Amino acid sequence: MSTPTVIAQGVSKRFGPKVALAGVDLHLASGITGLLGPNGAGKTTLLRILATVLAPDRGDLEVLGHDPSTADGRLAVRRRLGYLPQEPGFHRSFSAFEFVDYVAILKEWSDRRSRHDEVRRVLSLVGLEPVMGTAIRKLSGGMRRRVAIAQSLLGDPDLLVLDEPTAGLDPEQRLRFRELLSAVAARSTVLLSTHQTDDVAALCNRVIVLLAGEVRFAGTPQELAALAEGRVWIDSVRDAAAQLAWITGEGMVRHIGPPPAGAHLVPPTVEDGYLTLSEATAGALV
Amino acid sequence: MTTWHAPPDVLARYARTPEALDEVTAASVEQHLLACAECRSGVAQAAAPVASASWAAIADVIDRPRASIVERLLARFGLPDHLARVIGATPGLRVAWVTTIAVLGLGAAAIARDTGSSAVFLAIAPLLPLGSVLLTFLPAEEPGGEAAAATPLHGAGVAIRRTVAALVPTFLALGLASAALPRLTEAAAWLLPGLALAAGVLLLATYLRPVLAATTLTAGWVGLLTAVRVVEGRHLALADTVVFEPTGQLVALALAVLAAGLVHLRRDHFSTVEVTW
Repeated sequence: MSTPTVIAQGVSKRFGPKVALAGVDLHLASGITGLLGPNGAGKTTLLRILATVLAPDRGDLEVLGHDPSTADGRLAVRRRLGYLPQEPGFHRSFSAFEFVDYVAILKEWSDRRSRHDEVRRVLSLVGLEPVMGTAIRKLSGGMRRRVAIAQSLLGDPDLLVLDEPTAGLDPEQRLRFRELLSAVAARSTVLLSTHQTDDVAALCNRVIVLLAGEVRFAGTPQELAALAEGRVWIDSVRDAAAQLAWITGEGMVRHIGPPPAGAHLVPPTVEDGYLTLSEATAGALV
Repeated sequence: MTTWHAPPDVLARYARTPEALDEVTAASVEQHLLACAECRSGVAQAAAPVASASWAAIADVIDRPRASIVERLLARFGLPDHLARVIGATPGLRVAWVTTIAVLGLGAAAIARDTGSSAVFLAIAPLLPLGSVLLTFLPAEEPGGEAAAATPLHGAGVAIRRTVAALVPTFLALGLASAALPRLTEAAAWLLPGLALAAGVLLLATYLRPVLAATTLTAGWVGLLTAVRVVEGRHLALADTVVFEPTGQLVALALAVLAAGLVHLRRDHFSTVEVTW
């Protein structure tokens, strides 16, 4: 593993009575790390803390070699960071160009010509050059998502924190996004939160599973899939003993759980591993 | 087919600065280019950076976001155009808000003229700068959304510049409205309490959410005026109570200076989304 870009130890965050993060430890290095977890698991809180927009209540954090709890450290991190929030909340009367240009100014691109060149470059990367003069309110949901992705790419950041980047993208756009992200990850550290386990399987060299504010798994996608090894089988009828079962497109029933004798076992996917882990945490499979 | 080719430096000058060549040389190059594909290619290569730069300049003019009135005004006062954009893009600074303040101020001043009492104006005018500060802090007022909070410029520098940019037109509008008040001494009485409340909400926003900070101060201001009326008697005009008399004005000035100093000490708190929003 190369030098860590992010080191978190015992990071905790509470919102009133609700514990969002309960002592998170993690190391991130170059490449793409996927962050999986159900709604309310603390993914967005963790990403906001790593993006320096939220301060943890407790714990130690080092991002890109700096301590974000200090003003100087936070500034140093923000100069090398790209952040896609879950809800960008952009000012919708702005055009795509104006919005990205505005964020570029906040990222200290003070020279207008070079800034505008950079804005065109990132909008071109997400395929929005033809509509860059269009008001954001007139763009489709997927296009708005791409505008938000474009601003996160400004200046080729060393750390890219993306909260559900593929939400709202159609299948072709998702594939293009994967292509773009794999190119970015060749020189940066990318952390992306997602509900799409196929994105994790296709893109990520590491995966972290966050459940109830705690890191319950950190490893490769293959290792996550392996958690369901020997627990996934296909049958023509539903087995009542299975903890999870669903009918596939081929009309067969895919089961996860302790298999019956003679079951037709199949290789598990990342999704199977994730479901096994989350069900085990919930106590269903233990 | 010719075996002679024009010298590269001559081709480059022909492509980039043809006016720098004498007429005979330019005519010779032109004549030669008609017959020589290799030199035509050389001219195209030499001209490429010029064409690219021209295109970039054209694209820059086309794409350049149109500056708002506020931005143009800020730029006229010497602010660099990128900072003018960051400050002027805040919707809370729009003309509509200043117009609202002016209408409210003029309305209150008109009531004062009709009734001979400036109580309504003096009660609401100091709260309007507070409202201006609050507007610049609302999430909907940040054109960059949450993404802006993870950028290097996000923090006290932008927050305080935006506050000042919001307060200047607010005070100007209120100043104009207060000119309609019956007595000149009353016309200026709102100024220092208004400044104290504006600085106060900025300070309190480093501890509480801005809306809660503004609500707390508004409630405090209304409570203060009510208490003063109760203690000093209802027969006394509001303008003649301790709040707007010299003692009250000095206290307001001291509070404004104290709050501004504490804001400076707590400037780091503007840098995280929890505090700012």
